[in-house]
Formats: sequence, structure tokens, C-alpha cells
Amino acid sequence: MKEQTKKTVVQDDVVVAEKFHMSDLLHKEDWLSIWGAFIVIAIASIGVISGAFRFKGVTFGKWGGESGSIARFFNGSEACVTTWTGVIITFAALAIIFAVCNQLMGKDAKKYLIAFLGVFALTALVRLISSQVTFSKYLEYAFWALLIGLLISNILKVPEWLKPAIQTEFYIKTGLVLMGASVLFSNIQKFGLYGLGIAWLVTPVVIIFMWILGTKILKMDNKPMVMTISAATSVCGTSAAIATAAACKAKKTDLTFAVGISLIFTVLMMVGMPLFCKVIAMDPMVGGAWIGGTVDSTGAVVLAGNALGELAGQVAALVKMIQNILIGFVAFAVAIFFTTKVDKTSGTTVGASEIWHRFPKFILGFIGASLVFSFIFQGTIGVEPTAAILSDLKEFQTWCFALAFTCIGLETNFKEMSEQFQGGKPFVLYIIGQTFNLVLTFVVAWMLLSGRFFPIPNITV
Amino acid sequence: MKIVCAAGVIIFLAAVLIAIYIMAKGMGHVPGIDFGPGQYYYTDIPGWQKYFLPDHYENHVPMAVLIGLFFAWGYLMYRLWVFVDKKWN
Repeated sequence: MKEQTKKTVVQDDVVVAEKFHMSDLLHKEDWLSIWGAFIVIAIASIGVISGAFRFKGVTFGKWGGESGSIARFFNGSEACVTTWTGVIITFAALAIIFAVCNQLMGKDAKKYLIAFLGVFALTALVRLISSQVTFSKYLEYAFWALLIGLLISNILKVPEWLKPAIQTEFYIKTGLVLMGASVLFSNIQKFGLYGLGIAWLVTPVVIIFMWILGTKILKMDNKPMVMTISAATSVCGTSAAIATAAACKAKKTDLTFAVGISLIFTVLMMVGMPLFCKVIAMDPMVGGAWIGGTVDSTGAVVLAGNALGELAGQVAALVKMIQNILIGFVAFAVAIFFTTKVDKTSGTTVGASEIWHRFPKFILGFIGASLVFSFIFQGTIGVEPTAAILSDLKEFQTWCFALAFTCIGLETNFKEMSEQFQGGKPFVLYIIGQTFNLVLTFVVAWMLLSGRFFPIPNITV
Repeated sequence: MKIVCAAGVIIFLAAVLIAIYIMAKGMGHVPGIDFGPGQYYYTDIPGWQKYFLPDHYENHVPMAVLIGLFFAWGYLMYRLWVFVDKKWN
């Protein structure tokens, strides 16, 4: 009977809860992802504040070239022992949290644990490969996780015992709540009205432009894909794509397309934009703001900005930092928009209770973590300890996203991907949208920072 | 539309080839900076505190004004999005 009242509707590979019950707080994936992430945040915070211990996920050091051979992870050296001890601790922490959550969701925790060992091992392989010195700079885990997952699922067959731990949405939601802690709203004042103008004036305009382009002009039926690509283009690439895809309940292939396109063009823009700025002798401050507002990945922004000089690098970082704040708010707006406008039945009005029923609850955890760290932690324990906690949480967040991308690869087949190809429309959407983004951001950056309309801000480097 | 889509695919394939060339040649590096587009989010950057914690600009606009403008523009754009989506058919 209980199962009947908690009936769920399965549409493609997206599951939507029909009705909210108080017991959902302890049994539904969205809520459990919040509690799981909050436990990690709480332990890491206690560790830093008390000074008694550090609770952080492991990362593989770089290997290849001057960084040394990959053999150092397997030769019994101190680095080898430290790394693998960290891998075991990270595995244990995530396995306990996820297994308990699975038990609460009514799944078999024992089967989950066995499967999670396999998925985690694959993800560890992904992270080891992506730590190669060149791979780590250009592509990192998302690309390799998708590639390895896709190869296994399409060439070999995903074994049945592995399937209980293939829970893409759960890992994404948990990772996003962890990421929420690092979305510091107080950063909005780091570059005053200039930063707000460049980062926030343009972003929603580009989203609306790409939405209209994708859904009305290109007539793409897959609206979540349009939304995910739009957010990746206008906000900040992979991170925004993950958050928005979860908010609008996009398919896994939608996220794969958005991340793949964004990764490729980011490499080009990182190299091409500073060159273009130098060729036309663009003002470094305008150039930095232009790069900060348009290049998707934050690492590429800092690098491309610094290629123009220290001042441009600083301005680029300031603008990108403000764009990073937008992730949660864009995801929130997208969740509301899809709930009330896209997913509703034609001719019906969606009331407040229905919005609540359909709303992806993990976004509340994301925003809650952001508000706590922005307005409580920074003000009480200080900026440095807050930064230390965020550094400790960062690797857990990365592991969650790497697990999610590995699962996406394992669940996706090439046929399914080709169906989403739509004759190349996702590429057209990204290319035209990014071009519009480049033009609009340049115009706003030039108007605000060229000194023709407003005083040039004093940036210290 | 088919021509536009074909052009999109060709541009994407060209972008893939150029990206592979850039990666193979190790282009886009800046001395002293040991990361790149693989660091998607700001906390992914090694030593991110160095780039993102210090105040490099003296802001004179009250935080409340910035937050007010942030939400006002966000709300306005959301209404515009809903309006355009409804009207454009």
C-alpha cells in the first residue's frame, strides 16, 4: 500500500516523484543526497574548526613527463602508500554514506556495496588516467569517465552485479550539494558593479537567446538538452551543465553532449582568445573581462587571462568568480521554469503545492550549503578556515561527479547518442549561442571598462 | 536547415582536430601556471585561494544594493523568458 501511495512515474530514464510525504525526507533520493552531503560537510567542518583532523578526499598526483612515471603509484614508495591509503579512506567514507542511503531508499545495501566497489575502482582508474600531466590540464575526469564508461558499455557488456551502483543522478545530486558550499555569495562584491554588470547582465540574456534559438528556430524537441547546452555556454561549462541538467531532469546523453562540446571549444577559446586580443591590441582589462565572461572552464579563464598579463588575469578571475555564483540561481530558475512551463500538462495551471511536489529538492540543499558558507561560516570562523573546509570538500565533490560521469558512460549506448544527434542541431545551438555570448560580453565589457562611459576601476595585482 | 546543421557538424569536427593539435603541442601554457581547462570549477584549481581569496578591488557599493540589483535583474529576465517563450510560437 505504501508503495502504491508513493507511486512514481518513469519517463525515459528520468524518475519524477508524484506526491510528497514527510517520510520522503528519509527515503527519497533528493533528500538523501542532501543529508549525505551535509554529513560530509559537517565532518570536514568539525575537522578544520577543531583542528583535530582533516577529512578530505584523495587525489592522484600528476604523472608523466617531468612529474615522474605512473609507476610511482605502484612501487611501494611513500607516495604510493599515501595515495592508496587515501583512496581506501575516500572509498570507505563514500561507500558507507551511499550504502546507508540506498538501504533507506529500500534497496539492497549489500548488493550496492559490492557493485560500488566495482564502479569506484573504474572511477579510480579514470582519475588515475586523467592525472597524466597533459590530460589533467586539458580534459580531466569528465572526458575520460565518459570515454571509459562508453567503451565498456558498448564493446563489452556491463555485468549485472555492477548495475546496483550505477546511480548517476544520486552521485550528481550529492556532488552538487557539496559544490553548493563553495558557491560563496559574498563574492558578488569582489568586483562591485563592474563584475555584476559583466557577469550577470549578459548571462540570462544569452540563456534566453539560446532557448529561443534551440526550441523555436532550430525546433529541437529535446528541451532539457537545449537548456543544458545554454547553461554550459552562458554560465561556466561543465559545472553549470551538471547543475542545470539535474534541475531540468535532462537525459544522460544531453549532459554528455553539453560537456563534450564545452570541453572541446574551451580548449580552442583558451588559446585563441588571448591571441586575438593581442592581435587587435585590446585593452587588457576589457580582454580579461571578455575572457572571464565567455570561456567556460574556470581554469582556462585564469590561464587565458594571464596570457594577456597579470591585470587581465585578475579581471578574468574576478568576473568568473561572480559567474560561479550564478550556478545555483540559474539551476533554481530552470527548475521552476521546467516545473511550471515545460513539464506541465497543456491548458492546466500549476499551483504552489504542485511546484513543491515536482521541484528537485536537492537544489534546496545546494542553496542551503551556499548560504551557510557565505553568510554564517565566513562571518564566524573566518575566511581562511572556510577556504580550508572548501579545499577538503572539493575532492569529495570531484569523486561524486567522476562517479556520475563513469555511470553515464556505462549507461549510454552509441545508438542512443546518435538519436540525440538531431542532424547536428546541438552543435549549431552551441556555436551560434557562443558567438552571441562573445559579441554581447565584449560590448558590455567595453562599455563598462574602456573608460569611455564609466571610470576605469582600480584593480591591484 | 540541413546546410546550417552540416556546417555546424563541420565546424565541430574542425574544432576537435584543432583541440587535439593544441593538446599535442601543449599550447596555451603560461609560465608558472600548472593547470588549464581541465580545472572546470574554481576550487579545482591548485592553490585556488591565491587567485580567488584576496581582495583586488575596493568596492564602495553596499552589498545590499548589489544583492538587490542581482535579484531584480534575475527576476526581470525570468519574466522576459516566460513571456518570450509563451509568445514565440
